[in-house]
Amino acid sequence: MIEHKTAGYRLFQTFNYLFFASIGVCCLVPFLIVLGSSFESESVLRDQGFSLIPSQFTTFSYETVFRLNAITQSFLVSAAVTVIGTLAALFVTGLLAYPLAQREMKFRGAILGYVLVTMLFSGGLVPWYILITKYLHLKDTLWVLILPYLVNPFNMFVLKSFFETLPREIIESARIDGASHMRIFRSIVIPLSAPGLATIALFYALSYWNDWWLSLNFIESDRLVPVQLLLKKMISNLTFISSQVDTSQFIQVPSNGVQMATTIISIGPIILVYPYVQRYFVKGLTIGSVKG
Amino acid sequence: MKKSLKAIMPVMLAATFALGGCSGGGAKGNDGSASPSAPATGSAANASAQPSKLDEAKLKLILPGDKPQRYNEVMKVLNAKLEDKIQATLDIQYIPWDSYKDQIMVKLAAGENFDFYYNGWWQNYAQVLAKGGAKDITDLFEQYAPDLYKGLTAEYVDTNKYMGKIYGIPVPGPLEYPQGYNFRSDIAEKYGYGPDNLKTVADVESFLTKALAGEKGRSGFRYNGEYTGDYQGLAFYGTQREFVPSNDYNSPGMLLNNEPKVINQFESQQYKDFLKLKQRWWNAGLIEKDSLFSKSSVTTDANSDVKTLGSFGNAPEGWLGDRIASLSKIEPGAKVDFVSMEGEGFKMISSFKAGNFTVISPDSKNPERVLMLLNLIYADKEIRDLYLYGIEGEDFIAVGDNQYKYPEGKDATKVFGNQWWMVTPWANARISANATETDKKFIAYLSDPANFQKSVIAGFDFNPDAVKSEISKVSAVVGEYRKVLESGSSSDAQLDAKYNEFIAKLKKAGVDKIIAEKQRQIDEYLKK
Repeated sequence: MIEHKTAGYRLFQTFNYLFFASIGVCCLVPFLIVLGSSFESESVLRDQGFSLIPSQFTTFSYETVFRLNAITQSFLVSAAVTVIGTLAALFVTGLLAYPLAQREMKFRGAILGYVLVTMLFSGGLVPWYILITKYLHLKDTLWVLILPYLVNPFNMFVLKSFFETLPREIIESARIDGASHMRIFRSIVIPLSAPGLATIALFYALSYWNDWWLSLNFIESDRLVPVQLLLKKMISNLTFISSQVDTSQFIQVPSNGVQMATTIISIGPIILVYPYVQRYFVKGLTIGSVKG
Repeated sequence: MKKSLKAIMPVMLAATFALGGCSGGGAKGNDGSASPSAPATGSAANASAQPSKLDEAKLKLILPGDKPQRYNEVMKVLNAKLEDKIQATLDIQYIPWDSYKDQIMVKLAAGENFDFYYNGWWQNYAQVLAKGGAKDITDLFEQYAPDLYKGLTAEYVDTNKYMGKIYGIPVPGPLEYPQGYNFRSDIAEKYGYGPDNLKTVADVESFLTKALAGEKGRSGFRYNGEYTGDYQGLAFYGTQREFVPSNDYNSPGMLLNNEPKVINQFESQQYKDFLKLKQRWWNAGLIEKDSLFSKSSVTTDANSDVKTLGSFGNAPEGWLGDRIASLSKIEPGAKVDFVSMEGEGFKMISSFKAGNFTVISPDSKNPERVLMLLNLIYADKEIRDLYLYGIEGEDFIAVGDNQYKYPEGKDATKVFGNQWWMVTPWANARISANATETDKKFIAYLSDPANFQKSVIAGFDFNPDAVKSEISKVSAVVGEYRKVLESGSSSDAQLDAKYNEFIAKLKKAGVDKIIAEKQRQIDEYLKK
């Protein structure tokens, strides 16, 4: 890198650093407040509100959350759904997006339109519910947490656009060398698309990890409840108990701290995924692949 | 492929690794995964040995809330007994409170297989009825649940019919709650106050003035994060009042003195006087000023706030004793008591209608068996105790016939428990053995029809369709102004200006149209 020493450039650099540092702080501070508050005692939270550094350090909120017997099982369910779901969704979405990225494909417009329609309109909750419970008989199985999210049209379009940016020359040259479509997809397209696939994988992993809607609708047995639903149930019922004094007996409810602890617990594992995926975001993709 | 798999693998490995690490740190064991159908297989042989008995039936109940602790253990014992008595087993699915209404509608629309569920007017009972989500049990009720039917009385069942038919089974609870003052009786005693000389709002004011002068670090009243205003009792103590729709304090339009004349409570003299009163209290320092920005909840305050001397609210129904128990842990010697502010011999208005119902699903294959089960819960003390409180000695300890306490070292969060108001009359429920004399007095009061006067418009239901847009505009205005006005936190000039602004905005939002519509519907109802 060439060293620029002009005053203007230095000013620009300083401004840049300050600007992005302040954005970074804006993102980080709320998270730290949540983290700090999750270790704060409930009475301090009530009197003084949230703070960065707990004045009365306690792990009571975490103890409350981890007292839920089912939480170990739920973490396993969430992990399984996220891993299996992301791999499967990536595979299916890739297989749909690649042909649609090829201009010469027959009925391309019609199929694209079909996919697009599902993005804009939905059949509604009840028909969807009936389809899954009465026709597919998926209720109360692990698959019901995975199958409905296998293809997200938005992700499909992102991946399709990504495939379209791959230089056609590479594919043509592979074709001339006698490679089949599957071979091209396997040996050329997928390796070149690592950044795109990583992005989509992150989207899918997040949506599988964060989802409680499918399990709320379709899961009844305790051993299939993912961690998000377990925590949502707990918060929802805590909030309800505290708002219905007349009808419930008085129970000590540590609600604020528990909400914070819950947030930390549920984002904990998934946040570790980001550093791994970031590498692929940053990497340039086809630099040097086409010469001349 | 190989290369791209490599690209993804670290992500996945990281995820699994992180999750593995995290879950390892969590609590061990998961009793929740045992199969709920286990007891059914054991008793199948039992049923075949006695062929005269009914066919095996599995009943499925849907309730809002969280699955109670020790669900599997209790259900095993309960099902063995039910099997024996009515050849049925019970399985309960719990749905979180905030999605309960919608989930019930979806399940009904999808024709899902469940037998009965809880609902109430404050949930979406009206919608359920309108959409045919409840089974007509007019011909079945008396035959299959005779004890329950007799216990509820034919008159009560009739009052709660819908379009002349029995749908949900009403669950009788407290009729209405007289309003009054919850106070720290240990401190009141110190200053010579008690239930005998705390009878009016003025008494409360003089008590607080004296006590706050003598006590350091206490406050008279405090608001919590759920505070939205509190005129409903304070402005109308001792006046018979009925909100239309019932218990909706944000919708303008209510009846006073049981006369079928709809007034706008926000324009009433009582409301204006109340605002002045609150302002005086605020300025006199009876109200903790910082608490207007508090985030606390009613429940946490009730159990952990030992600074505040009292609050206005509902008559107790068994919780005073538990409050004393938790407050005295924080401040030894703390006591609380309640006095009604309504006055001697005052009768609240009641429509004598149930708020909660047990509803049989229209797709249930065994409605008769459901009724038999409900009959058992009503009439058979052993079954009822099991269903509501769990296993005696492990989940609760019976104290006499109608009280309970928790076993040594346990509390509500560690034992089984179902809510009585979803299935069986209040008279059947046990109360905490901690309950004080005041608790018992008001429990007896709340459930005795003789203490209430029947509303002139009993049986009337307001239909908001004609003024829907006005209602949504008005409730936005009410929500905006009530908290500020009713907290008392404004100066004289501000109060008048704010109040006039409030009324002007209400008028603009169409409040008069709502009042007129309520009046019109009530007149029409009374003509019939």
